[in-house]
This record gives sequence, structure tokens and C-alpha cells, in this order.
Amino acid sequence: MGAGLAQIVLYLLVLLILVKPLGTYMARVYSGEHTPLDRLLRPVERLLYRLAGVNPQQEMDWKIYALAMLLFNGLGFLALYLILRLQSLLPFNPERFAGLEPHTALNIAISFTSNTNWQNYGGETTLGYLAQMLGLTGQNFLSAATGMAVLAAMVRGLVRTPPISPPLAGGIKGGVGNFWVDLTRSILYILLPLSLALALILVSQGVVQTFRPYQTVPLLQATTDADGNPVSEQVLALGPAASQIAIKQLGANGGGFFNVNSAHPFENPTPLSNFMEMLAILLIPAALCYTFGQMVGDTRQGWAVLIAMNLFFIPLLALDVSAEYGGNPILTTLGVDQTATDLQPGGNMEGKEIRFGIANSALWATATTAASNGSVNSMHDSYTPLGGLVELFFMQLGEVIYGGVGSGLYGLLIFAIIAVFVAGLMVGRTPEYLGKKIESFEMKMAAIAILVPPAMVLLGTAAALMTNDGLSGIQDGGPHGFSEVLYAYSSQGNNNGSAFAGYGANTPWVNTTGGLAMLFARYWVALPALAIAGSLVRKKRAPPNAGTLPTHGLLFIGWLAAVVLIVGALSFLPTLALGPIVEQLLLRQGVTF
Amino acid sequence: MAMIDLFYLSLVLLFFVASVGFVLGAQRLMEE
Repeated sequence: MGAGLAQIVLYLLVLLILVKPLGTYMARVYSGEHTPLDRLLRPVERLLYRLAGVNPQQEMDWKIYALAMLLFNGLGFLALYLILRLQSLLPFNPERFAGLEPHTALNIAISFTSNTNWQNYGGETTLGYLAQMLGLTGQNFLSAATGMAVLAAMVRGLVRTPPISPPLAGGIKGGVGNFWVDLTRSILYILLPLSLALALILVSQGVVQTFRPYQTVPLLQATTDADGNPVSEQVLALGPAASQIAIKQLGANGGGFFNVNSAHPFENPTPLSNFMEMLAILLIPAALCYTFGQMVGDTRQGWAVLIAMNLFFIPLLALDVSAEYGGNPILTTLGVDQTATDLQPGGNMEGKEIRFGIANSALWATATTAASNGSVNSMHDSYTPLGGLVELFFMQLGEVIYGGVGSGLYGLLIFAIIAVFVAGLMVGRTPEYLGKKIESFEMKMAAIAILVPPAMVLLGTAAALMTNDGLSGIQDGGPHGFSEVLYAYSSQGNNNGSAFAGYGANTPWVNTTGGLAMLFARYWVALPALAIAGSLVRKKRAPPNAGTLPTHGLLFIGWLAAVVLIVGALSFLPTLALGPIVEQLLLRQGVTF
Repeated sequence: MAMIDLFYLSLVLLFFVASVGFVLGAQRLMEE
């Protein structure tokens, strides 16, 4: 137990140390300043603009920026849908997997385009190498870069002030950047180098990276299958896994190469690979806070949002870890020893890899649901009800505690705007954030952004519970079965992508409604964020005065966290009471599901 | 490709059209 906790502390320390250097570097990337990679990448960048016919100096107002994002993501969805449907006709499919069912392809294509990466399929039993590499890995880069681009635009909206000099071409009143440039630079300067480095580390640890077909090997010890037939061979699934895993961890994507994600020894073979994959989950979302601070010219603002995130992350991590170390009280009454010793990990080990133990499983589960990553190294359906509650609640908070790359921070900035607005109402002052007045338009957009995801989760869950198709996937009874459905829509409706593994979600109903939930949760939060940027960029910055609420101090950090908590709790406490809370209470009385 | 593909693709297209409507509506609201 002590070693596990020490690893958690080490993890948080390494993450904290990396925030400033990576955050500074990313700020330079988005500001167009010189970076150490310029000599290598500038020519490539210029070539890409020339091939695409992009003028990198051309500013876009928020409307053009948003339309470019929608067009690009719409085409990305279409390309992925076609790859999935037609994979039997495409090369690099050595196992000759068939094209996917339309509803399955729909859900996957939306899932990977929207950076959700919810998986209604088993990677190694469903998808060929082309679909995994070109289709899914491609979208891992593009969807992550889309989120980062939207964040860059929103921060520019907060930073820039009129009059813009020199005047922008085409009558543009307030430029928030150029979507194609932000997209290209996010991939070229940030995601690709980090992914390359991480992929090489993973390969060094034994993560597979090959185009060879699956290998059939003799078992060391023959066994029998469920029907009693002798089994002496096993098929080992292989493939170009390391390259996909690197970006799916870094880009808050999460869709694993193998069905069980990083519980699979070929996806996550060693303690070091586990540490690096976990680190990659939070690395960019954490560092982007510092990037934000640098871009607004006051790094205290960046630290403030990072601290606000950790006001949730660290206590809920502690709750998750302690719940799992506490184990199952029913087993205690049966005389099972659940204490951690040198010979056993103790606690609740159901659904967890022995090689990772409780601390590294719970840390991953917490990080992957706080960030909108969604990859797993243990099965969340098997966590204690309290542990499952932590994972559910992180998603339901709107994926703003770290959240997705870019999307987590622009989500939290929307909450910050609401926080200063409510604080302004309380003291009778005009609300301002970073010197920009927050008025009715910004609040209308912010209201849409914070209402859409809960609506998707609650409506999706309610509708699934009223249809045979939605109910048919439930594995367990009682409140745990309810939690399975709630988790599925909380995950899709907040673009997380992790799953309570018990819920069989590959049905036309769940795939279609979940797909719509992912679309709305992604774009109808990003669009209001861009609209707020477009409005703020036209406003002059007011100098701070005696009535200004400082947004870098402890008071604001606490207030921001309170607003996030109140919105999350008001939206979801009743559903949590019906699911994990009542399950935990019943567990203490000896009832399990 | 079948009719069901057209249905699903139309559904997603409808969403993106609605999103374009969102952008135009928000722009109009901003100008007011």
C-alpha cells in the first residue's frame, strides 16, 4: 500500500514538473513564436499550407473559424465511416475482417471524430490495421488538435483587444486566429513529436508495433474450452499498436488498440509503460493551463485554473483509492482477509490487473475519467460503488477537471465566466474576466455550453431505460444495472469514452442515441466557446479597479470550484443516488448486485 | 451501401446543418 501511494505522489510530482516547460512551449507554438523544432518543422509546415492553399497570415473571425471546424470534422466523420463500412475491400486487413454494421460504424465514426473514443467494438476482433491506423489513429490526431485549436481561439478572444492593427482583410472585425494554422501547428509541433517519443518508449517496453498477421502459438499447458474440447493453441493478436496508443493517451482520445485497452500485456506490458501511459493522460491538459496563463500574460491565471482542477482531482482520487483499498465488506463478513500485505494487494482486486495493483488501477481510473481520455487498465464495472461514483462524477462535471486536450480548459473557462457573472450579481458589479466585460450574450452561450452535456446524459439514460434495446445490454440487476446505463451516457454525453464494461452497448438504439449525444456534447460546447471568443475579441480591456474580482486568488479559485460543483451536483445527484450511492448503502447491509 | 447508410449519414448531415444554423443564429444574436 505504501509503495502504491508513493507511486501516486511520484506521478503527481512528475506531472507538476512538466507543466511549465511544456506549457511554455505550447504557448510559443500558438503565438507563432520561435520554437526549437522550427528548423525541422517550418519547411514542412509551409509545404502543407502551400499544398492546401492556406494563407497562414489570414485571420478568421469566430464564425469562419467555427464553420471551418465543422466542415473539417464533418468530412473526417464521413471518411472514417466509409473506411469502417468498406474495410473488407481495403488493404492491410490480414485477418480479413468484414465491414462493420452501419449503426456500429456510425457510433465509432462519431466517437473518434468527436474525441470521445467510446468503443462499442473489440479492436483486435473487429478492425483491420488500416482502419486502426488510418481511420482511428488519424482521427486521434485530428480530433485532439481540433480541441486545442478551439482553446487557442478562445484564449485569443480573451487576450486581443480592438482596434486590431493592421486592419483585417475581408471586413473581419475580430480575428481569433486561423483554424487551419492552429490545427496544423497543434499536430506538427505538439502531438506528433510527443507521440513519436512516447511510441518509442512503449516499443522499448514491449508494446507491439508490426504489420505481421496474428500469430498462432502452442500453449505451454493444454486446456479445455467451455464445451470440454481440448485446446492446445492460442491466437495472439498483433498489430501497429504502439503508435496508436501513444496518441490515444496524449490526445485524451482513449480508444485502445485491444479490447481491454491497457490491461492487455501487448498494450501495457511493464510498470514503466503503465506510468508513461498514465502520465500522458494528464500531461497536455495540465500543461495547457500554463499555456493559457502565458498567452494572457499572467501565469497566475493559469495556475489558478490548474489549482481549481486539483481541488476536485486530488480529493476524489483519494476517495477512489481508499474505497478500493477498503475492499468489499461482504467478503470481510465471510472471513476473507482483504488487508494489504507483502503477499497480496488486499482490497477490491476484482477487475484489476495484479501486476498494477490497486493504486495504479485507481489512479488510472481517476485520471482517465477526469481527463476525457477514457482508456482503461482495469474494469470500472468491478469497482466498489464509491469508486464507480468517483469515475461517474468526474465525467458528469462536464470533463472540465483536466478534461480533453483543449476542450477541458475551454470548458472550465466557460465555468469561470459563469463564476465571475454570478459573483458580479452578488456584489452588484459589472462582471469582468481578464478585463473583458461579461454580458448577456456571453452568458447565453455559456448557459448552452453547460446545459447541453447534462441534457444528453439524462435524456439518453432515461430513453435507454424505457426501450427494450437500451435495457437489453444491462448485465447486472438493481442500482448497479442503472449505473451501467448512466455510465454509458455520462461517458458519451461528455466525450469521455470509458465504459462500465458490463453494459453491452453495441445495439442500434444505443449506438444512434449515444452517437447523437457525442455530437451535441462536443460541438454544442465548442461552438458557444468560439462564439464567446468572437464576442470578447471585440471588447476593450477594462483596467482593474477596486471592484474587480481578482481571478488569480484563492477566493476565485474556491468560487470557481464551487460553481462547477453546484452545477454538477444539481444536475446529477438524483441519478447518483439511484445508482452508486444506494448500491454502496446496500453493500454495507450485505446486499450485492 | 444501403438505405440505412443513407439514413445515418443524413442524420449526421442534419446535425452539422443545425450546427451551421447555430453559428449563424449566434452571430445574429451578437450583432443585436
